[in-house]
Amino acid sequence: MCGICAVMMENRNKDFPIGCLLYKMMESQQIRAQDSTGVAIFNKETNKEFYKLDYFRKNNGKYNPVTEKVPPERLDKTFYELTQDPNIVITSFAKEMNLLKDIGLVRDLDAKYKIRSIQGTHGIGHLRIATSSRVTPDNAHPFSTIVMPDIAVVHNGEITNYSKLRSSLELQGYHLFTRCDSEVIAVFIADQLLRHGDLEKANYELIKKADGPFTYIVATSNSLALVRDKFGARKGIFGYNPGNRNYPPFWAMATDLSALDSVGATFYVETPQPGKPKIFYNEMKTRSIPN
Amino acid sequence: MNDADKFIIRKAILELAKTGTPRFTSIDDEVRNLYNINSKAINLWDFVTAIGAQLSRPPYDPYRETISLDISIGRKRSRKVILNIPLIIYGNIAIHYSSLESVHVALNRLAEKGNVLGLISEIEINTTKDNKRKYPLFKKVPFDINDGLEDYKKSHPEGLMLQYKDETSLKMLQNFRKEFDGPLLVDVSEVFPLYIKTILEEGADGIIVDTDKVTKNERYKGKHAIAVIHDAKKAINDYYKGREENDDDNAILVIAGDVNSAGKIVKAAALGANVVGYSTSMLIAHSNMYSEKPSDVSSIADNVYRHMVGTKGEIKGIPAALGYSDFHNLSPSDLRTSSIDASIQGDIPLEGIDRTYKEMIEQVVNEYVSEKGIKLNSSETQEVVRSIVRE
Repeated sequence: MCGICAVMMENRNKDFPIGCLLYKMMESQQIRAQDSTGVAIFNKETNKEFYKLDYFRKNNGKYNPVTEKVPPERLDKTFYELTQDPNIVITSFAKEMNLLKDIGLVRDLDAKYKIRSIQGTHGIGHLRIATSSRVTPDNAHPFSTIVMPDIAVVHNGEITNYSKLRSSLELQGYHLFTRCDSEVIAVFIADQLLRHGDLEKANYELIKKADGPFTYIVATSNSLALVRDKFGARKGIFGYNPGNRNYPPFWAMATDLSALDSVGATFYVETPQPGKPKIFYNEMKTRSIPN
Repeated sequence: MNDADKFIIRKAILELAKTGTPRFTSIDDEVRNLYNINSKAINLWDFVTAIGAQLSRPPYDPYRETISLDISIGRKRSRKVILNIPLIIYGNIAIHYSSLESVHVALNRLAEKGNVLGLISEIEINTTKDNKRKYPLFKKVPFDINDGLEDYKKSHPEGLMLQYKDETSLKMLQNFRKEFDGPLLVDVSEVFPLYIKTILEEGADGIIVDTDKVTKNERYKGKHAIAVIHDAKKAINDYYKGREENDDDNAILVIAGDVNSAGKIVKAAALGANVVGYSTSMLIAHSNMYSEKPSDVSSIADNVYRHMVGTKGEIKGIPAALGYSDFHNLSPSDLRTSSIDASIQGDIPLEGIDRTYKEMIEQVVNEYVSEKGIKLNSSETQEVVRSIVRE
């Protein structure tokens, strides 16, 4: 019973502290899950020359977060070195994304990283209650992948055939760092995007292959996709806030309606049809509901 | 694992480090139940169970949701064979014409109801307009054939099955592949685990492994069918490693031999089998076990039909209970075993621990190595682990 949420500012507005909206939505859904928390916020202005790698270094049961800026020419070597070390768990590979996660409540994450002040064009948030893997910082969401930069996934539910999907990805040579089914979504989508670059097609492919009840949100550098399983067994809802003179308009997505209420995204409220991804692009300027 | 076990394993590692040879008697031979008192390998199938629904895996309802059993055979060929039940009737013993008649009638009736199974046979039934074959036939080609493919094309089989004996079989495979665009299955039981990569390179659409035959080989002495299935799947996976092919187009693994009940079919599928070769004699014996009717063609066909419909229901039920809408989503992680030997041979997690025995030993080795400041790279660590588990 995890809680997920996302916000997409309209008109590529990047100056609004989007972390504040995510914080409110996550706080309103905190009752759903209390084990760990995380956000991924995208801002095109950040970090143009280097790739940003975030990882945990495990040492005697402790998880020390490390951030490294890597120039493109050193990327392969760095990945090779880090993936050889069994005590390293890479949590984020980014150009424009700021991914922060830890165990504890959303207020603990904010106290540590000041997430409420982070600006961006769009972002996703997650509250986790563990079902299939342990409560550790590396198992917290969002999940990223080293297959391509700026992919993040938050997920509520279970991919029951996770083992099968994982082994087919590993056969293709992809490196997975955790035993969490949500990481498989991130790597699968990244693999599909590398093949054809179409986020909608990538999600349809996953819906076709994945079993179990789930709702997830995938964030890329310019889009968000809200996806429910083919039976619609898990909740997922989106709505629109037209903005006012103090803040710009935005789309919001969440597990519970209360989260949309908490940020006033109560216009055009809808739930995606089971098995049909809803894609939101950050160049959307109209209030029409995306197909 | 308790402290005593850890101590013994550490002692084994130290001995290994000092002498360079593994301990003669493993500390857990008795627990592993390698042999019973008659020195006969025990049946590890009985120590393997499928884990049903749990918090993280709610079940599907097989009465409401579709649980797919379909499997496509043919990689990227233009002509593919689709089976609605992942079974092919195939046995060690050549099928007798009278048995074939009953099987033919039963398979036709099953196909009419949308339950298509395959048949591998050297001989075939004389079909008339009224009893035309409605199921896919894989015509069995003897390994010592010198003629071309013309004879085999006459009966219009959907697929062909070759038996791989030695290097000369490779030439035959190459020739058949050039001339035949339908699915080609290759039985590698005589040479297992060799040549699989070569056979797949040459365009075979599936590998058949007979566990009964393989476990009689010197190389697999004392090992069980689950080790054969595990190794066969590993060999196919090794071929596909690093390739970007869509896994729907991969070569299939057909496991024949001692897999002859719904429970074993599910366990074999979880270990890596895509299709099970269901022994003809076993099929007829099963279906006639409780029959009071005289064994004429139609009564045997009736029993075979009912047995297959029942088997279909049973093999759909287990994936549904595991939370899968597709039978082929089964994987080794869906199984648990109470036997350390089964865990080693099939890479199956142990009950209550959710890790394989090898993973547990690897952790102890890693902890010990890090505690003592010994430098071992991953291949050396694997070597130590393999020595300890005597793989």
